[in-house]
Amino acid sequence: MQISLNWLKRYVDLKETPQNIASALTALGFEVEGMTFRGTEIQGVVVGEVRECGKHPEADRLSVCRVFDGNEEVPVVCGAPNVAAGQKVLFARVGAELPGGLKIKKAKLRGVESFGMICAEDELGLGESHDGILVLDPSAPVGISMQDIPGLCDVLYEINVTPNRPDALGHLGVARELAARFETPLRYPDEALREDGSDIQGLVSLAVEDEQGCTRYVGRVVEGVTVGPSPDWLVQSLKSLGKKSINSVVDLTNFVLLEWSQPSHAFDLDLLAGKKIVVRRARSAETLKTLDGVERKLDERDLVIADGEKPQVLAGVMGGESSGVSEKTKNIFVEVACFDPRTVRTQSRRHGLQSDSSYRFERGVDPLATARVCDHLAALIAKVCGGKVAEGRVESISKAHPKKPRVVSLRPARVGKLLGVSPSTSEIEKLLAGIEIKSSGKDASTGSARDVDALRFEIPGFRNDLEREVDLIEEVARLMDYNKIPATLPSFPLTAVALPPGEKLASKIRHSLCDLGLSETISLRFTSRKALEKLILAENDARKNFVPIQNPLSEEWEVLPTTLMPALLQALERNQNTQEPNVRLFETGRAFFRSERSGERDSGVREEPVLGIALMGEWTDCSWDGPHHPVDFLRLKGLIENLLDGLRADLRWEYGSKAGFLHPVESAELYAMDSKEPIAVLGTLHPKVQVEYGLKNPVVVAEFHLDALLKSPKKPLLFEAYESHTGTVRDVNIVVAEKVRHADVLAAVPKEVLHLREVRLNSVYRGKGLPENHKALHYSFIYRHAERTLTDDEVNAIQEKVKVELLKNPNISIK
Amino acid sequence: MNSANDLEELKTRLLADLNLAVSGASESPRLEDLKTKYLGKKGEIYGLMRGMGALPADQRPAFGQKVNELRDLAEERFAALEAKAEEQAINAKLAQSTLDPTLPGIRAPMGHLHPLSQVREDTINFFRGLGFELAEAQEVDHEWYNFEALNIPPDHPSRDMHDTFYVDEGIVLRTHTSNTQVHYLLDHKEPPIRILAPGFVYRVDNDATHSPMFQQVECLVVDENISFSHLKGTLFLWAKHVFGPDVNMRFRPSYFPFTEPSAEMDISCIFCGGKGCRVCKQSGWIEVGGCGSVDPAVFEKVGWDPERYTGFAFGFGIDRIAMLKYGIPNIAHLTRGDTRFLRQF
Ligand SMILES: [Zn+2]
Repeated sequence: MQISLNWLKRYVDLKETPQNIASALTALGFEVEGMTFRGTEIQGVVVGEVRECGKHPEADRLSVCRVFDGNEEVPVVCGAPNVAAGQKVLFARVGAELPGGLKIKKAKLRGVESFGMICAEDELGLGESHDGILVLDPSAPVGISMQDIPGLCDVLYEINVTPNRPDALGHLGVARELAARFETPLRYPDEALREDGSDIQGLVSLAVEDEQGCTRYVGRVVEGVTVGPSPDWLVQSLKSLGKKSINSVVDLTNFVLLEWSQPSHAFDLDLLAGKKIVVRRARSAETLKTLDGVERKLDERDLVIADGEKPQVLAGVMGGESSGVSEKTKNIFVEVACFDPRTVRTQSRRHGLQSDSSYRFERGVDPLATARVCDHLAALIAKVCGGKVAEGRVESISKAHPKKPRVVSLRPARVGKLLGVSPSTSEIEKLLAGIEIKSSGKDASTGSARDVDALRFEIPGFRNDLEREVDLIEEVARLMDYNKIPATLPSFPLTAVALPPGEKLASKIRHSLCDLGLSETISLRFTSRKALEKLILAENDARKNFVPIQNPLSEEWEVLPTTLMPALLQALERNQNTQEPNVRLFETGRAFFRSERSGERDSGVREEPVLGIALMGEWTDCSWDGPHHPVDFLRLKGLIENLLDGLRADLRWEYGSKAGFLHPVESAELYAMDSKEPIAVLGTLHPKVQVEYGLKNPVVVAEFHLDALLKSPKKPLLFEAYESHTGTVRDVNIVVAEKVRHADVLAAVPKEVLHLREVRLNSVYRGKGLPENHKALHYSFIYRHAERTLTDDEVNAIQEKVKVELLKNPNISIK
Repeated sequence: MNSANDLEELKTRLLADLNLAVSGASESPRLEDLKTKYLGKKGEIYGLMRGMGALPADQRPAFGQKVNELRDLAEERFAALEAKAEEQAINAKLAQSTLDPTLPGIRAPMGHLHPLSQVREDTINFFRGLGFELAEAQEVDHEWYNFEALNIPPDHPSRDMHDTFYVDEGIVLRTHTSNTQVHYLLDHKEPPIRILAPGFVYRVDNDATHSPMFQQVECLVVDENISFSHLKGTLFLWAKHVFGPDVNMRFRPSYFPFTEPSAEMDISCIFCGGKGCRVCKQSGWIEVGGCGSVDPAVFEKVGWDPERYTGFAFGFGIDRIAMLKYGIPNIAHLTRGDTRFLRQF
């Protein structure tokens, strides 16, 4: 909301600097988000008189003037087409500095000396117009500085008005707050009303058919007006807030809106069929062409102001073209009403039409000031446009509409309890009185002990947001200034606070993976159907069970993710495009799955914490010293083994994953010992997915369901004696065909070999000395006795038996 | 033989040989050969000892002592010379290294914790230290928990402050972590309550300072006799923890339907110290979060007695704190997964 300092000064005397006023507004809860100085900061610009004005001898477009600035007459070259002798103008003397940094100096223009500048509006920051110089009223005293010209210079505040304070959407409301803060009186602007026209009853009739939608309606008639351009003060007032002047009547309704925060509407009375005003719901198939030129289809939900035939106004939102006030209008009907906030809000949304009116009605207007504002507006119209105000009003008031100020009780002790600071009763009364909340003494309505000290306060209509005791306590705190409330600490019994297990697990994973060389990323939790399709998921994959967003920001962000894969792969691609081919990312995020709604307030969405890992390019890129290994399944597997060891997770590996986005062979799934659903899938990215996501370098990925991981069994962490005996090692070179896997060899090792503690793979050899399509697996068999050192003979004997057993497997030969 | 003269002669010769050995001359004897010659089992010093039997018995002790002295001297001299030689050999070897120590270190892979996680963990640790428990609620929730229970009725202008994503009729992506308050107060009826609820929230919004998804932290304290003053004290403690002991704070009135009194907390601009700069839009203040005393209407909705219990709540954006703390100009950096960004933290 824009607030003009000049405008505020109509209602309150403000001697403080513009900055102090801004601080006061912010401290009162109207955060000043910006300040615009319109000419107030400029030095050296005064009212000048153009005494002579002639053509420049060398340039057609320039004039040479003689300007008197109150002290002396100087020659000035001016480029404006509208400059003329006799004008009063804004004259920037030599030495003045204009907004934007222009310094006025003595200059020679095409050979003619110039001592100053005659200014246009935009050059002084007074407006946008650069049509020519600003010509002042002839009565302006020559030589006074521009700041002394009434209404010319201004300071504009952009304030943030919270939805509970519709009263501050008008200058009067803001002025009231400042009057309270600076302890100075507020002047109400009510224009004196003279009802010297005919009786309104013979001129117009009112029928409010929908009292729920329109709780209060007041109308007046002004007869015999002359509608034309607005007077300067009105044009200037609206212009300072960026409102265009339309005609004197429309301008006055806008003026009153920005003054009282009360919308109103003016009709051309002679264009109202049957001289009738009917407030009703629209009938189906009725239409209304609103002032923005749009033909709107109405239905039974729309509250309208109709005449005897058809809707003329979409109530509280916007008027229609057909009954609007124009220069031809002679008789005016003005409406000031209270419409139901919800009704206005819903029909404003439905028609996609927000207006200054709807914005205020949605938030609520003063229910007790309707007639007062109507009288004020009618009087202003009569004053500005001539004409006579008809005698009386047409009006309607619903049963539910408040007729007198609300009374709210306040227990002074409760103020102390809630705020932690206890102003006295008289301080409370004084603070609230500043914004016209009057104490009406002790609350005698109830005799209960609780209320024995309660004070009663009458809440003026413009503060309809104040309904409860706590609302008044907030007002007390606000008017005291929040910064005067001391900061203290509450005291509590000691307590031990543990992290929830899920948080602890996620945190441990994040730190482990960082230690293992991966960087954490956080993705937006949105994805697209297309991105999910690119994962070539199997028909029954739960990841297809996504939740779409009804009002997505874009097609890329249309559904909630069921997997982190799209986000991670897209991040890889972005990195690839910025010449970062080697990337190791992980994310602990969330996946969302559609589920059955189990109750009225159930979301129907299952949320699961997930961990995603995506590695691309070379693993050892952090070193300049080769060789550099591309990421592959085994490196990923090793990483996951490291992670799981750190977590002491005891999981079962199954090789080859059914997840569509993984390579069918270079992949694995992890299970808790007894589970059917995998806790994790990992592997080389499927080549098709790689292409779909535009990834050029090798990519391996993994995804974990963290709730399942949390519930999975953990290896116990218990001390094991280690120092007593070193093991005895026997190496074996086992030659197998390519298709025989390490796991097959391990499976061929007999179970329960005496003292055998570990079979460790040292290397895999392919090439010279081996049959084609064969490999040699070099293993160390490590033997250890729990209590003593084994002798060579003992170990040799056991190892021989193992070899014999191994060789029983037809796939295995020993080199 | 075996006279005192022999002994003297041997001593003289030994010392001369040792001098020759360390002189570095080409035909000089090797130290280990000399050692064998003089100190070996068949060496000359032992020879003297063995020959001692030929002496008259009364001369033997004196002579034996002298031979022992000579042996001690020889051993000492050899040990010193050997140590010196060893050191020279090591030094020669060290000097041979051709390694270029100015080459970059060969690093182990290093990962980086996301700045949001760093701020989040720091926040959690700080409030845990004050006895706050971590609470969580779902991100997709029924609007009753996100709005109605927090005193935000349907079709109310205060909903304009929450541009909401819907996934179904009445089902929203939570617009703030405050739904956690509602769930927690419904599930726990034992005061005192001190909870901290970090989490992701969603708004239909996307520009340099707004992301459609961002992280908030919500704190809620409920007990008998919790006041607005306690809110200020707690928040000031936190702000000093995050922004340093010199930071100034101010509270200004605001409006949230679920708190009353409601406030915004500003801190003195950490970039200009309050003098006014581009970041603080010349105001000298930076907004960090909204807060207030729990509105009695919220207590009523969740079945707590608002006469007996009071409380306060506050929430701030983790993204915003991270952006302020690290000077990140655009919120989109946080969710791009760009390694050039991530590895800075
Ligand atoms: Zn600053």
